[in-house]
Amino acid sequence: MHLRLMTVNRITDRDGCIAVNIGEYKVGYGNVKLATWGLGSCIAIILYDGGRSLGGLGHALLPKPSSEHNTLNFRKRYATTLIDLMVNRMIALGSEIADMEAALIGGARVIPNLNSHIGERNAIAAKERLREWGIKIAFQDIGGRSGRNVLFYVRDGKVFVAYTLRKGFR
Amino acid sequence: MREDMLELLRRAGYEGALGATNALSNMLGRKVYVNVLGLLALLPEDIPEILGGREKHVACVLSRLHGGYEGFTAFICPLRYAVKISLRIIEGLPPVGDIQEDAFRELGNIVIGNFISGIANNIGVKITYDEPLILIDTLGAVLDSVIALVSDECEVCYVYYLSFEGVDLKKAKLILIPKVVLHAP
Repeated sequence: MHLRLMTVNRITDRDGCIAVNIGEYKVGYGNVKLATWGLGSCIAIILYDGGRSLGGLGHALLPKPSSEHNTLNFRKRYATTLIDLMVNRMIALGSEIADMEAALIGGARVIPNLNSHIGERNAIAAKERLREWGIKIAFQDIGGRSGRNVLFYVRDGKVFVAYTLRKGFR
Repeated sequence: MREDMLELLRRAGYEGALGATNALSNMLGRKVYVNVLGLLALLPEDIPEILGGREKHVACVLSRLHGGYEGFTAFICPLRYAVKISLRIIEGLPPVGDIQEDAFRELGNIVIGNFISGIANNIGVKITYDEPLILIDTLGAVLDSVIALVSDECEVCYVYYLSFEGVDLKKAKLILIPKVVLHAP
């Protein structure tokens, strides 16, 4: 099994989903559904070992930490250090680097007038860290102006992504 | 978090609500009341869940703050309320361009301006703010993106719970997202 992107209008299968909020990650086996809702400039990082039916979903706020914030609590806010934590958790649960693949979702530019490019920087930092670990990226769905909802079925590697942007007031 | 800072912000909130009450009443031509139901100090990460869930569609008027208080302020309400109140504000006008969004932005601008003025008076600093932007997406997407702009420093955000009388907007939140932890003088 490999990671597969399924773009949908709306995510309807919500029963039993485990929600992953900002600065969190969850790793699970088998028949587990991991979800993150309303992802904006943040980036969702998925690691998957299809052979072992083992997968994780993380939700990072920023690209990389400045050294003074590199404590355990803050590390989960950052894409680079969150990936480190997730990889180590996957290894602790029996996976190997060579068997892992990744997906990146999010990094939108929800506030276009503020020239921060945080979404883009999140994606670049995450890709760079995955490259350093030697983990291949199965797919990425990043950028744009809309928020996203993400649902990840660990059992078969399907990742459902729905865009959340509502147009104006009319 | 310091207790006296919360006390200053609580007083600033009452002053801001009074100013917003007068300004909105003038704008709408009838009596409108803005009340502060509560004030919370929260970790940035906790705000979306506490405000009703990351998936809720909202309208947000966002402004960047400068001067004695660096950061952002966001006036947020459920999208359906924003639609209702903006339609009421533009009642009788032709629906040209983004007039509905402009109407809601102006409402948010009035609330933000009065609360920032109240905060500046009570903390004793000068605060200016940029022309507000309007964002429409899920609460999670909006707040993630705002918090990300300040999150290297921001550890506490303040949330005013507001209620309105005399308009279709029943409840809204005004969130202060300081770039640094605020301290009382």
